[in-house]
Amino acid sequence: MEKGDDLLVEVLIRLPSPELVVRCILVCKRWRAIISSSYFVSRYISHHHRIKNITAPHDHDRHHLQDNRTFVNIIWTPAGCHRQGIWTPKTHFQLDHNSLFQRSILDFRFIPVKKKGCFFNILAVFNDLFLCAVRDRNSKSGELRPVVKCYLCNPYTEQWVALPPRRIKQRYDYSLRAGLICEPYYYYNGEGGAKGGEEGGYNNINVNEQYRYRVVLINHSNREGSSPVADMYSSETGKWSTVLNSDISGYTNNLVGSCTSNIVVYKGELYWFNEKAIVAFDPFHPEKSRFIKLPAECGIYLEDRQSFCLGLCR
Amino acid sequence: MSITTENNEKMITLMSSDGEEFVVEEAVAAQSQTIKHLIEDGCSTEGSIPLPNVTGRVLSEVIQYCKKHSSSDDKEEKELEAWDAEFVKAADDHVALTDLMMAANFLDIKGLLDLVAQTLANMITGKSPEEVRRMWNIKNDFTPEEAEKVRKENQWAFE
Repeated sequence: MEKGDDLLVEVLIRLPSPELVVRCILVCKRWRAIISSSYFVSRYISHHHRIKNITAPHDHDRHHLQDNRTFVNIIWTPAGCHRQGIWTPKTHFQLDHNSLFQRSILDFRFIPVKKKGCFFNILAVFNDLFLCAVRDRNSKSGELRPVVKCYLCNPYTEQWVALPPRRIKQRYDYSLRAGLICEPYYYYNGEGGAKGGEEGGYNNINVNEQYRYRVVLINHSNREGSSPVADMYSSETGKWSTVLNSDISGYTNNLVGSCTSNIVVYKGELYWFNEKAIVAFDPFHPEKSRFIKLPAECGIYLEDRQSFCLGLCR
Repeated sequence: MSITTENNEKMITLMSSDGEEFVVEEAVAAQSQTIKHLIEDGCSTEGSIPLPNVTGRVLSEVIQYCKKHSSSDDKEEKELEAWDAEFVKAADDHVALTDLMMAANFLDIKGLLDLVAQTLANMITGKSPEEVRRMWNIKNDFTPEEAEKVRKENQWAFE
């Protein structure tokens, strides 16, 4: 940092909103460098937490809890779909913020989809990130190709990353289920992240620069032995890998199958129902994943496999 | 140089970069962590404390702030806030405020640093990048293409 930079940091962290800070990036390159630094970001978050008197959560898990609270309902307007099953990024997605009943239209046209008639869908949402799936059609038969291209994007900032294409078995898009889990943007000192200096209570935030994430595609319906149960994409390797039933503890031969429910994200784990049990999958520590057997009295319901919906109670 | 007043308050002499001397009560000067540490280390017994980074004009303002804040207690918070607002208003422009902030930083007076930094932040709020540049006499070192790229990358903030 140059001389005087620390004073500039003191001023800019006191700007009342992140938009105002980002606009200041345009002032000059020095300001851009300061605002883009993780030191500045941690100071900004720390300052605004302090003035709002938000008490620091006690454990790492609380972040995931907070993340869960920001869920949104997504409704796509029929105006965007000419034929059933053809959604494109041009389809207008309406975002319905649960708590505020504020609606806004999301436009995904920034995602570079060239082919007409492709299938576009939103598979999962985590904080401000959307996991979108794009599938091409066979130009002759009109059938969906067995490859899914996933895009992780933020429709507000219109930033996106493309994940490598992944071969899938599902013929229809609605049977494709996916989960998205990201690490917290930042940690409070003394939990998770590296410990930083206190500096009179200023620096109690560590920005998580790595911001690792995992995408889990429940993509297999094999029921034999140690068959694959999901495909997982890791942000560090940039690659997909296969998760086997036998990777998950509590595995027995009769606890296999695919996903027959929605996927719930809670405390850093993905939960879904696989016909026989609930899979609690920890994408950052797959070895900690486990099957949760249903109580015996639930057996009566298990015959209707399509109707499961998992939810979260507090 | 230690002088004791009638009510037994210990006095300290501060000397600005341009040689101006200010005699203040120790309790007032000790609002500055930097000065407090110097006193604790025994630097004040031999004579006045030199402050090579602060001019007399700025130091007199700083002392005005410290006097007010050492004589008020918590009950007068509202009154103190109003006084603070008048105080930064009197500093007039961002150049004077920047000088004041540098002094607050060097002297390590947290309350004053907070106050001035927030005032400067409020002055930026609502200004365009061009206006901010003019205010601080900053040269725009982005080419039009680079500026357009930055704007595009952060479109959401400019809407």
